[in-house]
Amino acid sequence: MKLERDHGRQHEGRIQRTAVVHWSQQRAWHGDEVTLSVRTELVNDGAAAELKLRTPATAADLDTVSGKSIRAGQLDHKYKIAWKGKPWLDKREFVCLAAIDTKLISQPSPVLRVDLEPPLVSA
Amino acid sequence: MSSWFTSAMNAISRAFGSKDAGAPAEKCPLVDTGLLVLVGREDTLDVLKDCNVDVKGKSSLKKPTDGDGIALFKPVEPDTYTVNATLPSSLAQDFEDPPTGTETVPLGVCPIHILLASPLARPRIKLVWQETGKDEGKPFPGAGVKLSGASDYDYKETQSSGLAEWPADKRGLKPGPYSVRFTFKGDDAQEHEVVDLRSIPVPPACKETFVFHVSKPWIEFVVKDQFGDAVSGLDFRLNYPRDAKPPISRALPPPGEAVSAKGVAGTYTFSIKTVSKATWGADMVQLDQKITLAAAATGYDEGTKGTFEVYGATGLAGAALDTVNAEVRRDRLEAEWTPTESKLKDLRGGAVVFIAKVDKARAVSEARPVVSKGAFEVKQDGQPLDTRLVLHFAGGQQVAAVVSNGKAEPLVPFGESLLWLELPEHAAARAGLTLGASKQEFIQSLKE
Repeated sequence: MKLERDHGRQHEGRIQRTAVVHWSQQRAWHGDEVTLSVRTELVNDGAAAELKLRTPATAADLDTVSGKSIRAGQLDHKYKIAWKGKPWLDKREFVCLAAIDTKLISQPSPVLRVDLEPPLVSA
Repeated sequence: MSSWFTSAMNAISRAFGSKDAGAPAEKCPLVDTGLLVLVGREDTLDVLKDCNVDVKGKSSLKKPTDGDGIALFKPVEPDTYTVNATLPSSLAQDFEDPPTGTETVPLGVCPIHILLASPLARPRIKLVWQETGKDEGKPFPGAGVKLSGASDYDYKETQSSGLAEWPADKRGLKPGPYSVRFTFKGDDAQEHEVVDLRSIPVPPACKETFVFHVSKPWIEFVVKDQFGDAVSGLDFRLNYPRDAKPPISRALPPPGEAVSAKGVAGTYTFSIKTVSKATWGADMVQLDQKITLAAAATGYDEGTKGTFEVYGATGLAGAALDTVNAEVRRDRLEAEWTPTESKLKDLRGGAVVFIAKVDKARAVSEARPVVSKGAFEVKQDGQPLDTRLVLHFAGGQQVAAVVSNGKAEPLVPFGESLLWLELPEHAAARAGLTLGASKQEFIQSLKE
């Protein structure tokens, strides 16, 4: 951010904080451990972070990871896909959003495809 | 004016006298040829006595004005006379001599010529602080004050009251518009600015106090994010106008406090040390083709070192696939990167992101798919075909290609396994490929 302003008054500058989330893989089995990587711009150290997992088509959260924080602009969280009893609504594609200090909400991550049943194997 | 004029006419009647001496046998016209000069104040029109009136023409005569402000010159020879009046010393401090006039005196006529003296002014100048709070309106002593206009005057300095007074023993100032100039002393002299500097209209007899306000130029900056919350902790740089002072470079103060500077008037440059807007130079990253990596980088010296770290989009938690060095030039960090098979050998998921870094600041790009040029040959009975091809990959991507003279070179997702090919115009020739099947095996399967 760069401003050129004349003396004699107070001036306000604006910065844009951002956050992005990526899965560590494109496809996983139920029970796998994946890593959710959050990368931010202009977020202070110690900012509270919450990860919300959901299907792209719905606003309801399948799962939420709370109590995390940003350090040096990033967060890498290992997450085990254990959704027995969770409302996965018969979907197979899932995204993650990061909420930083409750206000900054990232765009949804790329899709993670999760195989929620054992594979069918021919005889 | 009318009551003044009546009084003047009465005074003239008395001067001329009203005795009836009887009708002359023959009157000499020269007897009635004369010039009556009346001297008064321009503002109130009060008469002024003891002014030395001087008329010059065929006759040259002098006399003072009487208690009615009149000097009567009679008889005089008919002529055009210049008429001049000089004020007595008792009035000279407070009045300007009337301007010289001319009057034509015909034979047998005694015209009246009126001279008006303009009262001089004694304006006062006051300088006070403009700053709000406890210093607002406080007197500013020790400033030099000069007026320039119809005449010039140096008040010397404002006193402890902030006032520059007109000395009682000094002749007044000619009325008119005047520009005002202030000068300041001390090491911080140039930091003072009179914020309402202006020309002042000085009317006749003016004793008004003209107030001016002085301030030290100041500026403040606050930084907020897109939610309106104050930002702290980021490094900033503040450059003074014309580099009049060294720049200020440190971390933003806590929320609620502003970055402030004083003492120099002009345009300041304020920048937060940030890296943002990380962008790729194209919509996809092609193997062995150069692509530009760029980001905005403000608040840094020219030549400050930075880096671009390229990651797989699914590999942010791991090591970077490649790192490219760059330098900040004109608020921009930019470099060219050529993705090669060896650099991308650990790429999973077929997409890359990069992180632009300068010091502690960083910006993350969007993900871009990595593609490479595929090579396909399609023949039927040994003859090259012109047809269409659709490629299906393990990651779910589909790529359509035109086969021309048996060849197609579409851009295909890098690192993805080709699951099967589709030839829409040859439904009978549709074939499936097992993972890892080679091109040769596919061509063979088409024949079968």
